[in-house]
Amino acid sequence: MDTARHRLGSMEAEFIRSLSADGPYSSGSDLRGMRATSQLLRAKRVRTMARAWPELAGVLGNGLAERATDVLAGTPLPPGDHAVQDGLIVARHLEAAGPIPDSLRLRMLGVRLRYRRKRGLLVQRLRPALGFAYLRQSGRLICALRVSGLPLMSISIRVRSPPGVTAADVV
Amino acid sequence: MTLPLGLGIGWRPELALAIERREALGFVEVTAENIRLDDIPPALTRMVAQGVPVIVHGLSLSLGGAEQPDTRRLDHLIRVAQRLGARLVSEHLAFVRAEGMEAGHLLPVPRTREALEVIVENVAWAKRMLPFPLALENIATLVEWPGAAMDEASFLAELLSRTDTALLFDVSNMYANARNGGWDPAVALGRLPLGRLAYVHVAGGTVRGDLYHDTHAHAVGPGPLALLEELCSRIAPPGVMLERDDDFPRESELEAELEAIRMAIARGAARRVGNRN
Repeated sequence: MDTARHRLGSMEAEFIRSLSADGPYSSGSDLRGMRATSQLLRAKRVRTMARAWPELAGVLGNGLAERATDVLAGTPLPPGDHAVQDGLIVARHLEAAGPIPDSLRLRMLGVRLRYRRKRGLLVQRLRPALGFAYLRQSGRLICALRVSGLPLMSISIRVRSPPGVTAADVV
Repeated sequence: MTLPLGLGIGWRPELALAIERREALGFVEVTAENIRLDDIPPALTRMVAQGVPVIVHGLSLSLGGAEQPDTRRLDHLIRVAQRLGARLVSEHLAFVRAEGMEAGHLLPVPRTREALEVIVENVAWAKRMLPFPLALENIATLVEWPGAAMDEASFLAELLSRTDTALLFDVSNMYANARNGGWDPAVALGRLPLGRLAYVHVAGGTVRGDLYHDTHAHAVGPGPLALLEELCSRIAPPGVMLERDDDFPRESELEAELEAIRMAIARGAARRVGNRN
């Protein structure tokens, strides 16, 4: 049975590898079905991520699917909560490319407070976590504490006036 | 028409209000992977308190994989079922990971004798761990492995028979596979062990290019409804439920879908009675 398991594991791994990379497909493969399934898997991955990260749609709008597909290409689907991990990859990509909206930065802070990295993967934190984020648009520094089982606690400090707002407008 | 479970629906947060408002709901199916034990949605807790029967459905055990099912995932399935008072759990004849790689989707197993032996062992192992009966579902797939030793229905039938497992029959999945593969689902229906039928899934889909996609995001079309009717002309299913996972419809559209399913069941039941007389 060990041999049978090993053989099945190899076959199924090759199947996933081919689908994820959109080929090459082993000889005798159902090419039409493999290609259609590759597309389906990519679209589903992005759709699942978009649902978990509505803030990304706010940044990329209709271009979300195309951009996310590009960014995630070549990154294997992570185990566990892959929608959160994929969204974080795309969010970091956007952050590196230029300013991102406060809503996305806040969401990234929320993810950092809920998850920690373990062997390259996100795993849920069991211990309390403290985090900070500077929100450029509103000119605020957010300090947040997450303790499992309690509502998120946060304070917001105005560091500077938001663009377009004069000191006289700030109360 | 005997439906001990009756007409049900897949519980989703987006449908929670419509489901809660619906009178005389037979049962709901809850996806284990979408439930956090420390944060069970209040709407779901209320349904359980009202006595609506719950079936817990798993997506990630990968019973068709080469590795023995992951005990943490199995444990989560059990805990969710216990918390929601479920008396039945269900999973798929599929694999979702291999050698550490995740597919993020239910994939078909190679239908070989050798694979069947491994899957029989996986299912038997899972059943030993589960304090509830298990039902296994046929999946929709756009791709077929080369060199299948038997057809989909025969493979599933042998697996269920050898592991003494119940059948969760997804009429839409079989309709999709039959349409894309060019075979007759009514013939395949005859090869399924309908005596093991626990309940039935029905969902909508759409045609893209030359392939039918079982999307769960469209209204249930005539194809799956015809297959449901055909099923009900042969046997009274213990329960039938609608699955909707995206593009959630308005409450009135949801009602119309459930009504269409109910009518298909009734037409099938009438044919069954007619055949007997």
